[in-house]
Amino acid sequence: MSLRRYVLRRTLLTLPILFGVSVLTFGLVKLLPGTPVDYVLQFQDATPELRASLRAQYHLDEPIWRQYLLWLNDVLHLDFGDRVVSDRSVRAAIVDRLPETLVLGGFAFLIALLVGVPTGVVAAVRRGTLLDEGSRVVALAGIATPNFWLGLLLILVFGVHLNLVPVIPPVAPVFAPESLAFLVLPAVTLGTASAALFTRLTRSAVTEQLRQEYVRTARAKGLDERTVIVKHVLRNSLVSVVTVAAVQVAFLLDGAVVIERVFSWPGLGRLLVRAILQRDFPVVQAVVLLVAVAVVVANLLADVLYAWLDPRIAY
Amino acid sequence: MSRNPLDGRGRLRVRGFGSHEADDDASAGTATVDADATPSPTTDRWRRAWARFRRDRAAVAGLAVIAVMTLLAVFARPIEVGGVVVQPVALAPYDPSASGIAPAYRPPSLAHPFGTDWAGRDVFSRVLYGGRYSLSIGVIAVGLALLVGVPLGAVAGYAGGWVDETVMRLVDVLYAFPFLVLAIALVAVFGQGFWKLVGALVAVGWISYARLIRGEVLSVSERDYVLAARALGASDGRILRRHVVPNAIAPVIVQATLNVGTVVLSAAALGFLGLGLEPGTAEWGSMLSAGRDTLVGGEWWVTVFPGLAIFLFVLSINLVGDGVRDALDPDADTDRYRTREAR
Amino acid sequence: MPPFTTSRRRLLRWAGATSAVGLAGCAGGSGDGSELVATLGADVSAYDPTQANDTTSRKAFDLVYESLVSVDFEGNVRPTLATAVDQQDDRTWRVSLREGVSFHDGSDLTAADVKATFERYEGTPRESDVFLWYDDATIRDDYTLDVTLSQPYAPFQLSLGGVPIVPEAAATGDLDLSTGPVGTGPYAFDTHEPDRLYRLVRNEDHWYAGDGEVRRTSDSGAGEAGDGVPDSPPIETITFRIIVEQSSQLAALQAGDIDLANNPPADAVADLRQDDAITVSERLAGGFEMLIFPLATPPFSNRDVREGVARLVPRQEIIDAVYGGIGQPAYAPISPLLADYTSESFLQEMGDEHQRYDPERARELLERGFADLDISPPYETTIVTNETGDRVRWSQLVRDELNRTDYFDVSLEQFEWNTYVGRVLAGDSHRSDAMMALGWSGGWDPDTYLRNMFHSEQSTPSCCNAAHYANDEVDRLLDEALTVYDTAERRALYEQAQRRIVADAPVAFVRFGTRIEAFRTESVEGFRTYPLDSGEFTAIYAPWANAYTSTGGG
Repeated sequence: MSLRRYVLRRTLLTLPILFGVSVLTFGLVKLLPGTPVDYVLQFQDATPELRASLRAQYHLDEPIWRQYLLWLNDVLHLDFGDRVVSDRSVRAAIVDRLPETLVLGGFAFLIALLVGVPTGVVAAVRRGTLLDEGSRVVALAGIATPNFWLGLLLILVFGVHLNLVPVIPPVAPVFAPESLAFLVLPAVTLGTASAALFTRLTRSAVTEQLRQEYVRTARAKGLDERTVIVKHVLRNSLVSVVTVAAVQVAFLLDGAVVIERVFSWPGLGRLLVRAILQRDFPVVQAVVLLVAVAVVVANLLADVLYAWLDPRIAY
Repeated sequence: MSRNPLDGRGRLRVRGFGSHEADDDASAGTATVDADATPSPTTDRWRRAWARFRRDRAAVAGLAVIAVMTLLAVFARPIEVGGVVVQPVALAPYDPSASGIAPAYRPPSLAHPFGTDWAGRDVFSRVLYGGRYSLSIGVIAVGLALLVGVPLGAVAGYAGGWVDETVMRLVDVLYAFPFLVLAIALVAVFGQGFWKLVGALVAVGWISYARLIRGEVLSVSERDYVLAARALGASDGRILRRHVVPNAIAPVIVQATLNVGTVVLSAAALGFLGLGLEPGTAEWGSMLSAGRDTLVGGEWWVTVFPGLAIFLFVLSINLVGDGVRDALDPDADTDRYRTREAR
Repeated sequence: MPPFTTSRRRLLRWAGATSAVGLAGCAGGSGDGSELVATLGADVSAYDPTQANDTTSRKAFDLVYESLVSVDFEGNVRPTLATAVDQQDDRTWRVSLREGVSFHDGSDLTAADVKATFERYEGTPRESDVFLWYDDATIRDDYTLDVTLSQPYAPFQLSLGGVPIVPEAAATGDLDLSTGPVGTGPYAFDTHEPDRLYRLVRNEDHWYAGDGEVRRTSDSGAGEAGDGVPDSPPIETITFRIIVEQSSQLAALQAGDIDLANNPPADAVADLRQDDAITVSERLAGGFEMLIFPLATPPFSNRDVREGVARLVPRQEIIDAVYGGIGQPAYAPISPLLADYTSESFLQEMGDEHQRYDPERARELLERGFADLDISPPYETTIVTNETGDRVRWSQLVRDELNRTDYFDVSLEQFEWNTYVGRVLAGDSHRSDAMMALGWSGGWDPDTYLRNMFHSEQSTPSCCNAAHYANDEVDRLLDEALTVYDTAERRALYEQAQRRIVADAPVAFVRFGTRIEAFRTESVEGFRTYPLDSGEFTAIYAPWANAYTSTGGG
């Protein structure tokens, strides 16, 4: 099977998954107790007409499969409806906060890669030494630390005691230098676990590569160590690292939900948690769907990338 | 233990030159040709694994720490079952929920080694007692998730066909949702409380085991001893139970061990967000959420000690998990257990 | 010097030339304008007074809109958009409007705007703000309006203070208030970045400019107001940072990132007072925290049990542990803020007779109550609360106290606001098996502390009588007191009603609230705490109350 056919097949396979995701998202929100109507009506006298008209507005009297189709139709047109708790459109609320989360996540991801991968390489190359053992311990510590605890400690040290960074997000657009400066702490917090993971992954991938025949061959041919590592070993190791990296999307969003709370960063994670608790159904449906779709797409890309990068894969 | 030809995603993976996939099927245990014979072919393997584990000092250290923490949690305060005092020892000097026994927000001292919190409660007692929640949630949630995921995944892998497809599609769909987000939604739907929290964690956690064991089962199913057993007329259920699963279970055990740590972290995160147990419970994550307000006021002890407890516990679990992996599956990819399967 | 226009300010901001830290000082780096950086504890959700159910939205647009009259820091009614409000008879009041007032969109204020403002409340979530008393309004000329009430209504003038006047165009549909508030106030709406900030800018055409005096309404005492208040608000821009966590507000204040924290944690006040750079302003407020009993569910159907629980509420411990020693125990609903309608001695009497913390007496009562009902303790139940930190904490302390007796096995359930409101205000709240921890904000009129909670017609889901307390005598007293204009007479009626209510104990009163703000001493001058939450930022500029705030220093 050629790469193209593989990609096509793999893409087609995501469609039923996306369908399942949409059904699950829709169903999960339907499970939440209460309805948007209850929320709106709790502050005024609920005349039967008002209640009926609100129910019609939210299609609550239709059979559930019809509600789903209506919702799906809207979603495909990127119409997510209006928020229950205020009058603003869901899409506007998401668009407002999406850049914040993307920048935070991207920043964290970058830190994780830039710290984790080189450390892993060094650890593998210097296998068995103190450096290796040390990095292993540090990596384990990174995985074991509750990220919200780390965030709190960092705020305590750098924000309160040393007063190096502001404690609340600055009033500036998300790409302004002040915002990025503020984001260092949250990004470090968010990226720590991923960095630890990358360290370990890279280390094992590089270790395994170093055991391969071709490394011995290359060395025997007289190539210097650095070339061997950078040109061959690294490139081959990165295959497994890269595919895992693409999957960190889901992981980073989980972290973002908590980190945004710790640092008062107005992103999608905060919006989502608030919305779930407030039973703001349209928002929950939209954000969860968006995230799940992103994860599915990321996995698809990861698989394609993996297939493309590793010529030994038989698909 | 043989090298797993699957890459953890259920796809066949071809290795390049010089890979050392020593196919020690032979050492996988003497295959039971007689389907009715009793002695398990795998006891040998477990004994060898244990010996390997014992040699890993970090893993043993981790196990020791967990044992100590468990003991501390059990003996923190007396346990009563139906009016009978089953465990009378109280290592924690004060009742963890007793408010006002000391002035609020006192820094660590001899009387209160970890200081006091906003309600004048002894933080040391609360941290000791809090181990009960984390430990029980971790073990129970993982245990239940195994009970759900392993059978489902094993059946899916063994049966193949539409059963396999259905289960795996379901797994794929669930995988698309970030763990914590799903857990939060479930807690919002079903409410707070110990069992609801555990339920949410189980509902999200079973998938990794299902997927893992399905992959293992797929590979093991083609082995000689399984084919032989089938040829001899053993029923599918029996084959699954006595031959397939025991041989496929090792990666799952590793995953489960590591997942105890993940579950504890997730439960703590939910507690931190205020979605865990009842407010005021001496659970480490919930204690950290209360600690949020104190950072600025300088009462660092409310935040540091519960967090340290979580950290210590999860670190030890990870050391043990690594040790288990090295013992059971020494040639495996270091972190395929931490990647997509890690839930 | 020409003021910064909105668009120029936006340009500066996007170019990164301003930063919150830099402007925390006096007359900041951006030239002409002075800026006050304050906070809000939640996001603003509505700009239209008829839609705003949350106090955050109301306090956010408090400086943008004005009412016919306003209530000052001592509870006196002061003319604002009206120069006089004269009673014609039992049900008719004549309002004389101030001339020369214009809205932020340029249109002039006339009687038509006032009438339109009243009438557009119909069918909205805040309908009762107006239609509790309003029957009709007759426009006599552009600046005179006769308001007819549906019945004599004692709190009429105070109620007028709670109705912000909007342009007539909002009622006809030509103006959409959901995109931004448009009023006559000293500040105009500038921007709102959801979850981040909400900004107001000075209204250069505010009617007070040039008008040195603002007289009181005819029937509220002597003296002139408005002396010394500058013609124009000293502060040019007010930026409200939306910071939900109290601790973050505090941290930001201490770091100098904000000038004023509107909701500092009460237990931090003692520490803050020691810091010279920070001033804490505190005032007894109009509100109380309470524990509501579901009257239809045994054992809470038994009066002895209810009083027993009320006597187990550790009020002083709560005040010390949760509120840093600030505030006072509550034994009856009407806040001591209303000096005309209650007194310290009355509260002490109610405490002694019915509610004060007394574990021994409580046990006796519980014993008797449980025996009467033939229920064997311990009884398993819950306390329902929302996420407000203070409330969660005092609920915990009450729970712990109840669990120390053998009569109860109480657990605590915490819900997010909307869910919580849904439970507390549900039609069957009185039958639920849970006590409800609630905070109630009253106003300047005693009726606001009693009617919604204790009148039988206000039983959930109509409003907030979650216990479904129904007592004919109380209903009668409350209804009568509402129509009586004489203060002394009303006081007697309310005292009687309170005695009855406290004796019946449908709720356990916990604490009278306080409002606290903390601000940087050098950057904020003249700020005072307003006792009602929705008017929190009144002191920034209120000529009718003799109040104004400036950013201090150079």
